[in-house]
Amino acid sequence: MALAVLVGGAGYARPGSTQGGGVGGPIVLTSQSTTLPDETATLPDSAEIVTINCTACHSPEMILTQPRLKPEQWQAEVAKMRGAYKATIDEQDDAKIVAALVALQK
Amino acid sequence: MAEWLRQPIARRSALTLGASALASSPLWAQSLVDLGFAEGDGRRPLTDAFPGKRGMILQRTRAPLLETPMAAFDGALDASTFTPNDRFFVRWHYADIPLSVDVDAFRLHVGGAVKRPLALSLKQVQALPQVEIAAVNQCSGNSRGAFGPRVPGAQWGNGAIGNALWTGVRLRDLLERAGVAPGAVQVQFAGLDRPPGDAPWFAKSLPLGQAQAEEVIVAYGMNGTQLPLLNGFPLRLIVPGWFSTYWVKALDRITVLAAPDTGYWMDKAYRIPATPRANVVPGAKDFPTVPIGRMLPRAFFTCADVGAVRGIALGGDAGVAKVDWSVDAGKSWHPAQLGPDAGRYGFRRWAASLPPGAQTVAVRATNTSGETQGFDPIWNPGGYMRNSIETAKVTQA
Repeated sequence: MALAVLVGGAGYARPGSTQGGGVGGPIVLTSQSTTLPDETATLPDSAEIVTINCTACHSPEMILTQPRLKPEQWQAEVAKMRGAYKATIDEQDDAKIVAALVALQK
Repeated sequence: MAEWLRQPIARRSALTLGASALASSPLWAQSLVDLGFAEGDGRRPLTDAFPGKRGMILQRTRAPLLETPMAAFDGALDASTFTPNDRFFVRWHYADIPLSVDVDAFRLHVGGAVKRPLALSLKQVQALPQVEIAAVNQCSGNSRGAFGPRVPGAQWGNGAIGNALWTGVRLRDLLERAGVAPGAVQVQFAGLDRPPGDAPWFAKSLPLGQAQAEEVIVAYGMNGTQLPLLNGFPLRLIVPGWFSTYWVKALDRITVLAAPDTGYWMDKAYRIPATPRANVVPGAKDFPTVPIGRMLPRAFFTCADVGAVRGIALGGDAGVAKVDWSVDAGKSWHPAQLGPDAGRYGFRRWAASLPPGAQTVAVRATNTSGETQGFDPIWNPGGYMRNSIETAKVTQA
């Protein structure tokens, strides 16, 4: 099937396989450079062990927006970060980390 | 009006993100939206702070997760179905993402099981025949926050989705230039983002046949202009009808594989139960899985109030054949009006004229292959592929 059949209507230019066609003619590519906004999300001091072990790779919203998880679910997340993503989390800290994560959702 | 359709509900100064997040409402957040999740945990800041983006729902600052408010998709039946680039959702796995790209220095590498490995400049890519296609880009985990029981992961509402007119070159034209070697089975894609430490590099693979499909393109244009950095500038793989996980951003490496990809992102992540609609009994484990692939039909509300009941629909990997509405919990269905057909892989607008009174309205999309949606809440542990029927409470005069 031709792409011209896949797209069409809605007031947009007929697509197709021609050079330089399209809604705005040729697409001009120019170098881009930008910065991202500063992070402002933080965890309370009581969750310092979470900050230390978890926020090197992602900002705290990832933790703060989770639904209420059971301790074993949090434990599975910690194990996934260590096993799949090679996070350097000491297994001896798991219980404290899980307790702090559960406390954050109280 | 349904909870998740609420517009900004208050100035930030008047609200917090919830007791567990007192310290986390960003200073640059302008207001809050409520995604309407079951535990009352759907409040999120709206932000204009990310480059090239405005009015986005902040899910996570690093690595960026920005959701599109449903109101950004709203419009009359004949309005464009394309999502503006500055409202298009953003999803990166790792924090080290390309924030600076020199168009002269950039090279697209095509290698692996090929006869002639390539390192193409953007000018060389653009010299190939240019094609365009309208296609919906939807995160595998779109609507994960609506799962019951809830599952961990990014708690998206319905806005990890967007539709754009993509301009680029056919992947198969690139593969033909490189010459696929006999025995090749898959094609792997990777971009300029980098993992932390020893985490697995993000890479996704398509079966060779899918990679050579006519509609799969390497895009340098999004709605008539170059892509925003946050959406994958300068090149992005477009796999119409398939979930976004395959739409690799800042694509710079295409590798033809002689054996199936056993990397983490294919073998462990983004896998769904090998069951209809990826549905299993909540809590189920040890079921056979397959990599997530094609999308299913869905209809969404973009407006549901006394003035209008309307929205958008997608057919998945086929066109939208019809959208129906029901105000009696599915006992009877009535056809909604449809907007112009802008292509089988794009959004299609719908609008419903309801009887007067207070009611709960359900909408259901059916695609040209005859697939449709059900009321049953599908469940899987990854929170993937939700396509349950959406409802909204609305009063019509």
